[in-house]
Amino acid sequence: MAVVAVVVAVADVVANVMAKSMTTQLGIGFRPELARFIEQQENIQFVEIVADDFKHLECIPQALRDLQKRGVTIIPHSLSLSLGGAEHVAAERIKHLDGLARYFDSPFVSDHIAFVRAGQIESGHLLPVRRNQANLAVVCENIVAVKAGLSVPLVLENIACTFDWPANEMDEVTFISAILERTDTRLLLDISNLFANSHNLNFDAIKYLESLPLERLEYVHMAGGVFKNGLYHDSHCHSLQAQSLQLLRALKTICPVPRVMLERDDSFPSSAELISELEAIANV
Amino acid sequence: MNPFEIHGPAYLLVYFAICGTVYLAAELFRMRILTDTAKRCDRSGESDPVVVARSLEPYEAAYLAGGVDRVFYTACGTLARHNLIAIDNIRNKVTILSAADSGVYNSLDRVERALLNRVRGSGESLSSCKATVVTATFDLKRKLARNGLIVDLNDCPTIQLLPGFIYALVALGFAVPKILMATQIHLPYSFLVCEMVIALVWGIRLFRAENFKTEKGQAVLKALADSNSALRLTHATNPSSLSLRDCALAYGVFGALALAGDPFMAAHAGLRRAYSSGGDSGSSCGSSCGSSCGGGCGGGCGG
Repeated sequence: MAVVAVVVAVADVVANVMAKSMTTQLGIGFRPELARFIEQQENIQFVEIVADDFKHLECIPQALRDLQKRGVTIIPHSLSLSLGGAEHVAAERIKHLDGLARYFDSPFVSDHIAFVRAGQIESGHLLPVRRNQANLAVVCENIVAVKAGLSVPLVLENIACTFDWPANEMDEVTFISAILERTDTRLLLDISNLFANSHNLNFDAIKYLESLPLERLEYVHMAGGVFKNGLYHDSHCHSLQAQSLQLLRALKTICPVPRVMLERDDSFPSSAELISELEAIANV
Repeated sequence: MNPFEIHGPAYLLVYFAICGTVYLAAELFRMRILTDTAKRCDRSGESDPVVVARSLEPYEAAYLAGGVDRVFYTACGTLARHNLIAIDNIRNKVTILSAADSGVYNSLDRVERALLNRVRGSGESLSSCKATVVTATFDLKRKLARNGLIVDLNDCPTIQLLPGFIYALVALGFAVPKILMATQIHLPYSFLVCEMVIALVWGIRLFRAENFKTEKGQAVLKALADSNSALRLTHATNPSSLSLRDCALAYGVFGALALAGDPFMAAHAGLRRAYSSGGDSGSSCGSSCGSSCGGGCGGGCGG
């Protein structure tokens, strides 16, 4: 009898652990404009901060520390490493990102597969890397250098773009998969960027999803955008599009999604609208 | 040594030193008796500032932070932010912008309702609106005093007057006899008269009637600011997204953080013009760190 009880108890624990590991954590991009809203949402389990907004640790607002005390995971997200750039990533940028990760005890940090500067000129925008073997080597070299300077794993995000380089040697999914495999890095999949690219560059988003090494998926970005002149702009200041939610649904049928978060950077809507978007993401 | 035997500029210096010393002593005396009074009046039984801060309503927090003025600007700012009133700080008038439906009206604080009721019709001057708000703050004041956060000076006029009287007696006592002596022996005394008048005018500060914030009150105010860091960030960057209650709490605790076009500041400027009097620290609350740290990348960065 006792043995049966122990077996049942162990089975319960295993089932609980498995169920917990399959649960998708819900998050949101932390912005000062949304600080009060985020503080009031008890179902938010993680927030992503733009690392470049916190030049010094003294600039970290108490609101973030309060969230951390509450058990909310803080993920530093960088916009400026320029992993796809020809120049080496500056050591102070890596140090800064690592400093934030250490400060918040973050499980990982993230940045984009893109370049943002060349010849000392800042583009102010995440630009796509021309997909050829030479650039693949450059991106991988940069990523390996960044990883060596970090105390936590680096997670890489796909970007949105409205144009593609001529004479790419491979498609985006092949390029990203190769980077992840070669550098043993995990993936931040921006579903809305994927939708934008599939619409603007005319490819099948589902096939793209099926070709990704999704066992490397760490978390997912969801953001709103707008159709303008036949193009889809991933603006982060419009409502979430149904197509993005459909893609998230498709992703969830393929693999478990550990974390999913909403990004909103401007034209902040009412709390009710934000809650409804978060619920839509959580209920997919 | 008899100070009355000192003459000329030397006596002016001695008089200045005596008045300065007695003023400081009177101020310390005032603080001491007010603190003792606050402890005596504290019936809350709760000493943890964080717990007390949590129990305060937005307008109680506003009163604690800046007295009646802060309560008034907070009510103006909150109602204007929610498009219920408009503040014309050129004509110093408050007008109804849109009628609050019963749901919104019921959710308003007592102070906000009092202000809204006053403005009904063709509008009302800022000063008369403020008079209405003053009446609506009596209960706030009493609750704060009962919690040992402020001393309601209107309830203890003796305490309010005693240090001032002592100071006035000293200021007069060391000047009037000397002036009388100077008139008898035909010595000039006009500088001493001027110094005495300045000393007495300065001493009026000891009779000031604003509510004294206790140490506990200051600690609670700090706890309010610390525990509402997120509210402060949103108040400074996206105030229109805040609910009525949050808006009132933010104005109450932090004042106006977004200066341009803020209705809190419009009420402040209008009333200052009407009264030609100053006195609110709200506008200086802006964060020196916020602008460089907040914000984010804005839309369309491709990430």
